Amino acid sequence: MMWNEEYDVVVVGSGFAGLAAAIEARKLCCSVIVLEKMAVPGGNSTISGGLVAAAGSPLQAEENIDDSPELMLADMLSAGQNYNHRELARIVAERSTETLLWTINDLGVKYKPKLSHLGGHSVARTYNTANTSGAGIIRPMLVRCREMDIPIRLKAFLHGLLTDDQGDLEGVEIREDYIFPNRESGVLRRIRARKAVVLATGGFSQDKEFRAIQNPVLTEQIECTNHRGATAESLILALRAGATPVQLSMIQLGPWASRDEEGFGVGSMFSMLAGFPYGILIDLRTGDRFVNEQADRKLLVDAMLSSGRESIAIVDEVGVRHASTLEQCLKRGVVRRFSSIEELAMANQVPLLPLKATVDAYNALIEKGRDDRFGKPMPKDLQPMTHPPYYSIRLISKVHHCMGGVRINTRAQVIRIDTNQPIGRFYAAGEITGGIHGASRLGSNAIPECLVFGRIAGNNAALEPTRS
Amino acid sequence: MATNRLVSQLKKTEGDIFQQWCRVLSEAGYDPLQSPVHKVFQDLFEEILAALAPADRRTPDPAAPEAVCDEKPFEDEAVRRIFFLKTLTACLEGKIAALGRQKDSDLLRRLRRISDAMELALLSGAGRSVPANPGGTKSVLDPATLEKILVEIFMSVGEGVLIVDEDFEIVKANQHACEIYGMQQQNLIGMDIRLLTDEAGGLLLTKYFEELIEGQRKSAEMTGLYVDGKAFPMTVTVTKSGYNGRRYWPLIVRDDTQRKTMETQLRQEKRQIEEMNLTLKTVMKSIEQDRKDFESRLASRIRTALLPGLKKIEMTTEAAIRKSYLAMLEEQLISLTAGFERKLDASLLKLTRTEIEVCRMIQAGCSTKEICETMKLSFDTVQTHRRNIRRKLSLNGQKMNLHAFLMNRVL
Repeated sequence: MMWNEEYDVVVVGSGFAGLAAAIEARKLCCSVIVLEKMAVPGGNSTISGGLVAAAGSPLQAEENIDDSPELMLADMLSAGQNYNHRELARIVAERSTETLLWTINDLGVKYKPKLSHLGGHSVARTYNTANTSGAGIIRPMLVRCREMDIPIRLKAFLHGLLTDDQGDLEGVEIREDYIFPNRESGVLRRIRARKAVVLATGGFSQDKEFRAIQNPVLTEQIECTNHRGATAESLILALRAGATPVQLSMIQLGPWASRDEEGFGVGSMFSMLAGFPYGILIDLRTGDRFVNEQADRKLLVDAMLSSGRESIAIVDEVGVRHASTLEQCLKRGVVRRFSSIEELAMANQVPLLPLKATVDAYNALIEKGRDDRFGKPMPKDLQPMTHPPYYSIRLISKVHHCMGGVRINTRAQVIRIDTNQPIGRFYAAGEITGGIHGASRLGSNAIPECLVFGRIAGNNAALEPTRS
Repeated sequence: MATNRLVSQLKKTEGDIFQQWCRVLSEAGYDPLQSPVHKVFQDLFEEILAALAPADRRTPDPAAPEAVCDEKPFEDEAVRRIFFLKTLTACLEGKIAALGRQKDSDLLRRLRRISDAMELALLSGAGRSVPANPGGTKSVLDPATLEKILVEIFMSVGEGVLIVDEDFEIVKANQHACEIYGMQQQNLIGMDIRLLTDEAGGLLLTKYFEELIEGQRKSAEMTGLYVDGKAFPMTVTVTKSGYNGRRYWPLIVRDDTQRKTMETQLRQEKRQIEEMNLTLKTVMKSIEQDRKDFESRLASRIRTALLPGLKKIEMTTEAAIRKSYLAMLEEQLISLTAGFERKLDASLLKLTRTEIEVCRMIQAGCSTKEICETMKLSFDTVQTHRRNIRRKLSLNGQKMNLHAFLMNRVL
């Protein structure tokens, strides 16, 4: 076979998993390249909220929060309805804190000095980047790649996974100077991997055709939080190379996204950090609460979508302090501010009296320390919503994350479907892999997963013997 | 017609329905006495009934709600009207049920459809639609199409464009700008423009934003920062515009890396050419010097070697001595003209004046005896000179004949 170029390790995808793999691999071997089909690096990772779960972290110690990898694993299995591939989920939980510290000490990532408690987690264990964005981690990773002399080739579309006579991965065929989304654009080139290929191409939430094949409920009318490039072609190539598909129909919708902006936007983080934990979720037609606002995403979405319900989240002046994207939300009209519950009800067309009754009942729960009938956890810092102004966000569920993907083992090797053995010199990490989160991924668990398995994949890829 | 009867029944109970509606409003926390809701009620009520009447079975055309809102309402105003519309629809549904007509599902469906259509019209901004061309062909300048085209152009134009607001926040970014900084739109939008350059660039932008008047345009070269922290040269052109009482600064940004590289290359080439010029000048100078040296050497040789020879020939009377001087002169003249082709030998410089004269005689083919006679030296002295010359020319122990060696050399 004729090759245009050769590297020790070829990484496909420049998000959390791909960059983590490249950085680890480069420590052990001399030539690593990262391929990215879009014109800018970072994929979904760089537009994510930058939330990182870690069990047993320094901030938890500071805040006297009792946590452990076992508890985190239990939360993952509970949200995932035990569809999780446990041995993989366990690795994410066990290495979460070590990986968080790697981002702080090795990459210099800056986090806010306070933990967030996200829905479905038993305790507050979520770090948030200082700029409330995944870019807060991606940028230091890109800086590191530049320092380590790892080229990131943009507009390089994965066109084929090339195997040798034994069916082991030997390289990739790409379309160079590819112009998204034109599949015919660019020039074909072959890049050989002397050691291994790492596939870190993310999920397919934006692939309306493919996702509807996996889950027909997800019609093309349903919006999506992902960047436009989150499509399924690399997954299909992996399957053609013999990879085992896992739970491809398990596709998560985000319950916190705003109706008044496109994609993930700034509203999602408002709901996650303030609206849900410190506010209430209201059915527009009745003015009532209908679910534990801190339930995991699947339970929330199922409740929100049932019987054509339309919902808004409400939070008061005290609770809103946790929303780090508030200014941008107000500026873009994603969140609206009202001097009274009456005004808020009027503008949102919620019946006022039931809404007032709901708020009063909720406040009474907190004041008297009673249990919520929906089971919302009542942490110490939760206060009654009595301080105007009040803030509301109109919600709509958007396709957010693909739990399914190719099957890997604990060494991040892709498993062949017919032999149940690893495919030689083929590693995968991040959202392209399946089974770790089961039926529902907990918020802030994606970044630890991508980083943990990205590093494992990069390390093992670099340890492969070099082809002559 | 059953529907006709119903419409007239509803008309008769208009007062009841109004009161019922006011009750609903106050329950929802809205004070019906606060603003003149009766006029609103009448408009809405009549419009719904007109739409419901079988004489006019079509759903209300989009222009109809203009009766309700002949001025383009603000967003909040539209929300208020939708609220009125929805509550009134609910009251009408209640009334129809009270009249025992709830089983007429077709009627209820139509009522809801009318209500939905009116709501849609309100939502789409007072329901004004662009009149279609009589020919049926769609005009290119249809505002919606035009807007789409403009957005497309903005997004795909081959220069980076950023629009910045009063808070220095980027509110719009096109594809090329994203590529220049290596960031997605979602990352760029909401970002402080000053984070895309260094401190000096930030200060310059701040200054421009303050000083610029509308219609003015300013360009500056400054440092740009790529997502991975790499600095690159960029040119930023700033203009200023206002919209809805807010000020915006559209920025055109250009990555100058390529231009700068070419400039550096050109500068390097220019410097190389200048250096070459200098070298040539030096070479010319040294050639000139060589020429002068040569001329003076020639003059001195004529003075030291030829003229004394001529003098000696003039003085002597002996034919043999004259002959050997003549032979020497001949050899000297040949060497003067042929010297350019011969090799210079550094070792020759070690010779003394007498030794050089001896050499010249040997070169001219004189025997030791002839040399003795010509130079008035003893045989032994000439032999000593010959030995010294051989030593100085490193010919000791070699078979090389001194005459043969000196043949090709300039003295």
